[in-house]
Amino acid sequence: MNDERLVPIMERYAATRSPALRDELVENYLPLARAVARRFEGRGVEREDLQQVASIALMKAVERFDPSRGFRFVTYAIPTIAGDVRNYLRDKASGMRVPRDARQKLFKMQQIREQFEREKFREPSAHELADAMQITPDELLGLLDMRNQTDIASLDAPVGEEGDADLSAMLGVDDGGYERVEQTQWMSWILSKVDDKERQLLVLRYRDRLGQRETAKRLGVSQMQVSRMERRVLARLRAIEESGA
Amino acid sequence: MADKQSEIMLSLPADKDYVLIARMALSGLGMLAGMDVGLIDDLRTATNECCDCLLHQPMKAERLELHARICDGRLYCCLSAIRSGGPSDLPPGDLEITRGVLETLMPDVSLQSDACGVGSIGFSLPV
Repeated sequence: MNDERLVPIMERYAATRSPALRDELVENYLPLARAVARRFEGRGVEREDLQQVASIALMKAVERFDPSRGFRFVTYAIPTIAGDVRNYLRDKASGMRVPRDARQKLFKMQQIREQFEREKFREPSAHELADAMQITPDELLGLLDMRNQTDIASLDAPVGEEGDADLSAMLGVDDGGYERVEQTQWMSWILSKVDDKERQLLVLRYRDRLGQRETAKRLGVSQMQVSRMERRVLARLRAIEESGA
Repeated sequence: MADKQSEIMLSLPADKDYVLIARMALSGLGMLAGMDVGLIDDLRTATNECCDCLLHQPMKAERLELHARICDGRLYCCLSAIRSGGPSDLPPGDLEITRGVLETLMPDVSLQSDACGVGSIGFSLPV
């Protein structure tokens, strides 16, 4: 940063402590404070708050700087501003296991994800979810990471220990439901409501009676994907059945 | 974990969108090393700053490489640019801010420069 033209003003301010000169210096160095604050965005604190902390730190740096020591102001100011912003972030974060802001975002993420699945019959990509939440992909990954460490129920948890779902339980029919599923008419109804991939899944799981692991292998996807897809399909089928469509 | 020798190496396209991968990798390593959340946040900010600095040099970077390891109670990290040989179309960054921010976040920072600009940035911190 070229601050040579501000050196005489800084020297005059050091000699006179004139509030007008101080304001002029702060105003001129505000872009520097903002540039430093920008580096700390995405850590759960609003941009405006960070900029305010950085501006206060800048004022402190202007007041404490001693030009007679031969250093450039920016050399002194940048660590001062960065240090104050970082300390602010640390103070904000301490005492909060999961920041309230993050909890709200986690809740919002779950709602948006479920809504997306209901509307598009598939899971949103990380980018789609981040866009819908108006956050960066990085923040989203941070949230996903945080979610794994909290007790908020995971949407990805397999239904059973081995991920073996029970269609009858999911569709709300009695234990004899498998027989019903096997009935051609019933199966035809189900298969008419799903897409190709889902059809393959249901055939492997409920006609061929394969476990999720084996189904995943056959479909070339992970067991977790099978679990999620299956839960989604069954929930949709249940909704269709209940609505009588 | 902290004293167990371990190393990660990552090669990324020199594109700001990929910086996220470097950040995630390093924060994962920090997590394995038992760093607290605040320190991991600092590590992420420092990674971002290093990558941003390497991308905004006079000579265009083609790829960014990340080497990090935990050894003798410290996490060592080095990010370097593999240059393409052509001029960069990105505006130059402010090296002074980069240095100031990095030195605030990390206890031991070194920037290696030559006529083409900053080519690699290293830092280490106790874990």
